[in-house]
Amino acid sequence: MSRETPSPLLAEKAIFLEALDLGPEARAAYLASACDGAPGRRERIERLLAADSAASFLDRGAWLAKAPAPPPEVLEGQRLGAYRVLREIGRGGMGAVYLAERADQAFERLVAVKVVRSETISAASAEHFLRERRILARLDHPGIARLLDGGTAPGGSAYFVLEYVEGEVIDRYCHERGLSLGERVGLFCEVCAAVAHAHKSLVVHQDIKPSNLLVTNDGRVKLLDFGIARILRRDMEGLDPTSPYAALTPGYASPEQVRGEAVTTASDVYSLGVLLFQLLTGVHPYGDEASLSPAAWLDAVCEKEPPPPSVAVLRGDAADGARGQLARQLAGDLDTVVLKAMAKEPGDRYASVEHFAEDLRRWLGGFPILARPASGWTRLRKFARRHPVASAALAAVAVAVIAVGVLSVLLTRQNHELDRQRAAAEEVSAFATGIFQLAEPGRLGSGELSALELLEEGERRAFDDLADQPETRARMLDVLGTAYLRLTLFERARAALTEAVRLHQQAPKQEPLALAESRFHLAEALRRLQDFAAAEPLYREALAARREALGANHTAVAEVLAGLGELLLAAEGPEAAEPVLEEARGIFLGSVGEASPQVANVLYQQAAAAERRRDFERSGKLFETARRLTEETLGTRHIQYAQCLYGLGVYHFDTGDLDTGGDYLAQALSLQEALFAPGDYRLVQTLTNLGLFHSFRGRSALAVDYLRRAIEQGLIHHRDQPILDRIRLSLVAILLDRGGLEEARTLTEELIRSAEAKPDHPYLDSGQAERLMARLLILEGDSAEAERMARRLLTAATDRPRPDPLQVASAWRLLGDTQLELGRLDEARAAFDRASEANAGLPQDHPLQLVSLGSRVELALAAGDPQAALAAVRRARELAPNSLAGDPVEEAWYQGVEGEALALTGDTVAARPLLEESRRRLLELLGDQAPAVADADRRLGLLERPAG
Amino acid sequence: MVSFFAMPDQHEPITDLLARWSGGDAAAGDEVLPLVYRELQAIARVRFQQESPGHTLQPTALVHETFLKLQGQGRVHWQSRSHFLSVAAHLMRRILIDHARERGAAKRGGGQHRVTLDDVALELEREVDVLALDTALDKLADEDPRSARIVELRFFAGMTVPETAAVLGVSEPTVKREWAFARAWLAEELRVR
Repeated sequence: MSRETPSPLLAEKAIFLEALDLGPEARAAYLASACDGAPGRRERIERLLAADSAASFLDRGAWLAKAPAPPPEVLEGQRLGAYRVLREIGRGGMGAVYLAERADQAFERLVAVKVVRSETISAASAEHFLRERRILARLDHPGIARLLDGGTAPGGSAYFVLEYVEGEVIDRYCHERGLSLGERVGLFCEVCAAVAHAHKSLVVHQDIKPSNLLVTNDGRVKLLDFGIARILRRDMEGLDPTSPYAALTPGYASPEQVRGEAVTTASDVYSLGVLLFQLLTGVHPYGDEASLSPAAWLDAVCEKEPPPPSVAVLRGDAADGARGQLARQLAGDLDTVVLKAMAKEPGDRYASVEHFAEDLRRWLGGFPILARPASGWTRLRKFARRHPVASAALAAVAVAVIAVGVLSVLLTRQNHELDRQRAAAEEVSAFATGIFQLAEPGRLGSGELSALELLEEGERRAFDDLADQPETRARMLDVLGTAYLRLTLFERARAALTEAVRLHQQAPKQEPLALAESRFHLAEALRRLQDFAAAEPLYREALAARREALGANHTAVAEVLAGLGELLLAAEGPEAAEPVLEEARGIFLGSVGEASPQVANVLYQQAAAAERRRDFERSGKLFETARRLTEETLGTRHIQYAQCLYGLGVYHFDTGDLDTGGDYLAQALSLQEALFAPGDYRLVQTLTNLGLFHSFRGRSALAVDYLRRAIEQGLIHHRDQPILDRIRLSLVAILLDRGGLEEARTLTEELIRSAEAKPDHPYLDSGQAERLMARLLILEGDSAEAERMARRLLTAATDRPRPDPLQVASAWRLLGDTQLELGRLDEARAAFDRASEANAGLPQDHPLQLVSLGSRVELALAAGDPQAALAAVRRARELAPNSLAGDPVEEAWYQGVEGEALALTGDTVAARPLLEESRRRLLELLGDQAPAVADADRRLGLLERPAG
Repeated sequence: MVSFFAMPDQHEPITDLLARWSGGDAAAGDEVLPLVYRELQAIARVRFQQESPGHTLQPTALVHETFLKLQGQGRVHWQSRSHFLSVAAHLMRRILIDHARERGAAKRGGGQHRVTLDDVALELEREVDVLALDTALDKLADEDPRSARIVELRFFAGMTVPETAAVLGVSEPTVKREWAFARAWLAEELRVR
C-alpha cells in the first residue's frame, strides 16, 4: 500500500489542471510557485501544457480505417455465364443490379443480375453456395421472382441471375394509385401467399421490405431476392452461420434477428407485420428511420412497443380529414392484427404466415378476427422479457404471487400442512427478495426505471388481484417494499411496508413471524429516512416476536439487532448501540461463525461506535479486523471491503495521520467507483471526505473537484437529502476563497431555497445560507445589500425567546464586516464589540475567537492603527497556535496582515518578505482568481509608496 | 479565511450516510468477459466489412449492438447499461491492441475493398506505437483509473463527452478536464519512450 500522497502523477495532474485555467501570465507565476522545490517538475508540466495544445492521434477515434474505396466494377458488356450484361439498373449496400439478356438468344427473356461485392462470398464455401442455389431455384410461385442461375464473376464477385420484373415498389404503388384499405390488405395477402409457399420449402426470406416487393403493371406482386440473404449470411467469412449480422435491413429486421438469436419463419412474420403497418399507415412503426441513430434504432426494435397503426396514422402525411377517417378504420381489428404480427416475442406472433393472412381475409370478409388484443398481464410479461434487469425481479415477484396464491388455497384444505407451507412461503419471499439483492441497487438509470415500473405494476396487481386475500397481499407488499428498500427508494418502501404491516395486523389468523418480518423491513426503511422515533419500536417488536418464535440465539434475531444497533448509534450514540451490537455479534459468532460477512459487518458498526466515542485505539483495531474478515470471506473486490478501507481512512484522520487516511480513502474510492453504480451514497461520502482532506491540505483546486463530484453523485439519488447541503456549504466556502463567485452564487441560492423549504434543516443553522450570501455580496462589491442582509439576520437571531449566542455573534460580526467594507469604521468597531460580548462564553482558542481577531486586525488596519493590528496578530498566534499552523490559508493570511501592519509602521524591510511569502502561498493555495490574492497584491503595492 | 474539515460524528453527514451495506458483488464478471470479447470481435468483423473505408467507424453502435445481443440471450446480467458500456469500452481496447500484437511483422498494406480489423490496426499504427500506448494506458490506470477509463470510453469506444459523462455519472466539465490531462499525459509518455 503506497503511502505517498498524492503520487507524482496526481500531483502533476493537479498542477496541470490548475494551470490550464490560467492566462499565460498567471500561469507562469503559478507554475513558478507550484513547482518550487520539485526539480524538473516545471519543465514537465510545461511539456504537458504544450501537448495539450498540440494535435493528437487521440482526437480521432481508434477505429479509423483508411483503406481506399473499391473501384466500381465495370460489368456492362461483359458476359456472366450464359448472360450478357446490358446496363446497371440499381445499386445497394452489398452490390449492384444489372439488366442482362441470354447471350445465346436461345430464350428471349431479359433477366436481372444481382452482383454482390467479391469479398462477401469466400471461395471456400462455393460448393455450399451452389447447393443452396439449387434449393432456391426450385421455388416456383407466381409471386416469387425466380432465381435462374448464379456464379462467380471474373473479378471474384458473386452474382445471381433473377427473373426480371418490371414493376413498382409496393409502397409507392399503393400510394400512387391511391389504393383503398381493402385493396391494400388484398395485395398484402398476395405477398403472404408467396412467402407461405417458400416457408413450405423451408426457405426463409429474412429480408422482406418494400424494395424487395414489386407490383407489376397488371397488379401482381413479385417478391425478389428470396433466400439470398441466407446464402450471404452463410457465406460470411469466419462467421458463425447462425449469426444474422450479414444482411440485416434496419427497419424491418425482427428483434431476434437483431439480437442474433435463431431466425425462423416467425422473423418473416414480423417483417411482414412491419410492411403491413407501413402499407396501412404510410409511416414506419418506429418513426423516421433516418432520424434514428443505429443504436437508437436497435433499441427501438428490441425495446419499444410500436404504436397501434390507428395512432401512428395520425402523424402520416394524408390530409387531416382523411387521417381521422383512416384512424377509425384501423382502430380495433387491424390494430390487433398488425401488433400481433409485430410482437417482440416470436411465440406471441401468428404461428405462420398463413394464419396471419387468414385473419386478414376474415377482416376483408367482415368476420371477427381470431387474434385477441394483448392483455395487461401479457403486456407486462412481454415487457419483462425485454428488460432483463427488471425481469429477474419480475420473475421473483411473479413466483411469489403464484406460490403464495396457491398456498392460500391449500391452507384451507390442508390445515395440518400449515407450518410446512408457511415455511415454504417464507422461502419464496426470501428468494424473491434475494434476487433484488443480486442487482446491488442504488441506481435509477434507464434499467432501473424499468425495474421501478415493474414494481409499480406489481403493486397495482397486489391491490387489484389480491383484494380478497389480505395475507397474500401483505406478503406481496413486503416483497415489494423490500425491493424498494434495495433500490434505496425509501419513501416508496415505507408506503408499501406500512400497508403490509397493517394488513398483517388485521389478518384474522395472526402470523407473528410474517408480521415481524414486515415490521423489521419497515424499520429499516424508516431508519434510512432518519425517522428514528418511528423505527425503534418496530425493531423492538420484531425482535420480541422473533425471539419468542425462534429463540434468542437465532440469526434472524441477530439480523434485527444489527439494524437496531445501527439505529441506536445514529439516534442516541455509541453507549446505547454498543450492547446491542455486541449481542448481535455474539449470536452471529455462535451461528455463522467469526469468518462471516455478518460478523465483519457488525464489527464495522462497532468500530464506527468506538470512533464516535473517540476511542480510536478500539476503532482502529475493529476496522482492521472487519477489513481482514471481509477479505477472507468476501475478497478484496467487494463493497464491504471498500467500506472497511473507508473506515480505516477515517481512523487515520482521527489519529492525525491525514495523509495515510487520504491514501485509504483514495483506495476506497477507486474500489467504490469500480463496484458501485453512479450515485451510491457511499461514493458521495468518500468523495466528500477526500474533498475536505485536500481542502485541509491546502489543495483547494482538488478539493473543489472532489466536492463537485460528491454533489454530482449525490444528485443522482439523494437529491432531497439535506446532506447535500452540507457538502454545498463546504464547497461554497472554498469557492469564496478561490474567487469562484458565479458557482458560489448558484450554490448559495440553492442553499437558501433549501433552508426555506426545511425550517429544521439538520445541516443549515438558521441564517447560515444568508450569511454566506452576505459574504458573497461583499466579494461581489455590493456591501450595501450585504449590510441590509446582515441587519435582517441580526434581527432574526435576537428576536426570539432564547437567542443562540453564537448566532448573535455571527450576525454582529457580519454586520461589522459589511460596515468595514463601507468605510463606517466606528459602527464596525461597535458591531465587533457586540460580537465579542456574545462570544465571551467560548473558550479562548475556539476557532470563532480566531475569526473575531481577524476582523479586529482588519479594522485596525483600515483605521490606520498598525500597532493595534500587530497586537491582534500576536494575540491570535498565542491563542491558537495549532489552528493557525494547521490551516495554511489562515496562516498565509496572517502573514499578509502582519506584513501590512509592518509596512504601515514604515518597516518595509521586515514587511517585504512577509508580504511576498504570503502572496506566493495564497496564490498557490487558492489560485489566481482568489480575492485574498488580489488583497495580497494591494498589500505589496503599499511597499511602493512612502509610509505615513 | 474559511476552512472546513468535518470528521464523521453524530451530526456530520458522513455517519448519517454510513448505512449498512447490502450484499452482492457487482464485479462478478470474470467469466463473462471472454464471452463479451468474442462477441464484440465477431460483430466488429462483420460490421466493419459493411462500412465503406475512409472514415471513422462506429464503435458505439457496435457496443450497443453487443449489449442487446447479450441481454437478449439472457446469458449475462449487467448491473446497468453503464456498467456494460464501461466494460465493453475496455474490451474494445483489448480487441484492437490484441489484433495489433498478433499481426506483428505480418503487416500488409491497404488496398482491400472492405474494412477489416487489419486496416483499423494498421491505420492506428501509422500514428502511434500501439503496444506502447497500451503500456502507457496501464500505467496511467494504476494511478489515475478514472482518466484512463475516460480514454477507453472516448477513444476506444467512440463515445462523446456527454455519453462518457453519463456512463461514469460525472459532469461533462469533469470529463473534459480528465480527458485533457490524459491526452496530454499520454502524448508526453509516448514521446519520451
